[in-house]
Amino acid sequence: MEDTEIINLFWARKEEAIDETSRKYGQLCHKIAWNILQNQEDAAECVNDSLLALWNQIPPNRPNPLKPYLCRIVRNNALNRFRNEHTRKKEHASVCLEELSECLPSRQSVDSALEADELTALITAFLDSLPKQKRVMFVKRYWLCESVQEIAKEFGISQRHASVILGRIRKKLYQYLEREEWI
Amino acid sequence: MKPELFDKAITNLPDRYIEEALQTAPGKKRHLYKGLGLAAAVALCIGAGLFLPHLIGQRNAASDSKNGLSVIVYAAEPGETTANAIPLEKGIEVRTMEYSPLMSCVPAMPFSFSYGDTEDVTFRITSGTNGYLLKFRPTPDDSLTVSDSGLSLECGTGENIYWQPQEFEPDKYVLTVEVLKDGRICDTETISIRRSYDNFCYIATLEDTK
Repeated sequence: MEDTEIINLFWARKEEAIDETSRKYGQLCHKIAWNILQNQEDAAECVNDSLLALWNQIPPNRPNPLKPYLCRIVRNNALNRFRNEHTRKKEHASVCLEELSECLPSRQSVDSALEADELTALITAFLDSLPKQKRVMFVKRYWLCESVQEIAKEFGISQRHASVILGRIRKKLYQYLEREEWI
Repeated sequence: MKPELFDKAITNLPDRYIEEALQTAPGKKRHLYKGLGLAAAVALCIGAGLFLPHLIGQRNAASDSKNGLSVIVYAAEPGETTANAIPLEKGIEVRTMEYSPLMSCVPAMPFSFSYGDTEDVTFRITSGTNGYLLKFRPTPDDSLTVSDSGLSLECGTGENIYWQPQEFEPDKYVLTVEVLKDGRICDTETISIRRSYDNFCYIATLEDTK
């Protein structure tokens, strides 16, 4: 079923919308949730919560495209759940999140939505300057929270090579944010 | 900066990047010598004609294994204190986190299991006598306490079972994983573990017993 048809079902308040979304994107959502939570049960619950959130957001929203919109909800839910979980489940997602935070040392100002927007704009500009392959690797690692091994396999390179590439991207990002006087 | 701010900034990246990453086909390696492309294509056609039945057989076997027992191990490079959860595959060795029975502050090495999309199965893990299995549960003060232990333990999908070596010298430790559905064994795998002698890492692989 096309995304526009699914969205029309949501607008018509038909529960079939949830089934169709789950059929089309359930596996992808589960993968994103699993990448962050590393637990089948939590990932399944997170996907269900995300579908419910989607139900509550459409209407009034009419996302176009639907896929990244849904993925964003799943990622947010998984990260919130992850932060609320006990320390035992910290192992995987914290690795990729902490990798990135290390390129951003502490800054003496109050966090705000404005700051996040400003940072998003800078990272967007930075990603625009990267070749496609590196940009995709960055997004897979830090947005989709895929493991380095998974990324290495997808790109047909060694795990070490993938780690080195990601390390260089982080270093470049750090230098870029420094140049832009964000750090 | 709080990591949350960075998460928020990353989460808000434009849709086009997310779509681009989701659409990128996996496993595509680029050919370095484009001039050889035609010759390679011809060779591939001939090869495919000869080996197509074999290739189809392999593909079926691969997809079957995806539906079967999956073992997740926590892998790390030497010296790293954090680990990535990755699935074990036959014939591929995975280096686990550093662990020393006498010195490590981590309880043991975690493994978890799933069986396709089936949730109503249990996994019975049995260790050789040179190893030991543990299960932990969190306590209200945010630490862990042993909830079960022994040479054979059962767990559910996604639940962590921790293994620790009991002897330092053996070159090979073995864990047997049995998948139980309605009390009957429906699949079995053997995990082979050996110690890396240049550090305190252990190397795990799935044995090719089928």
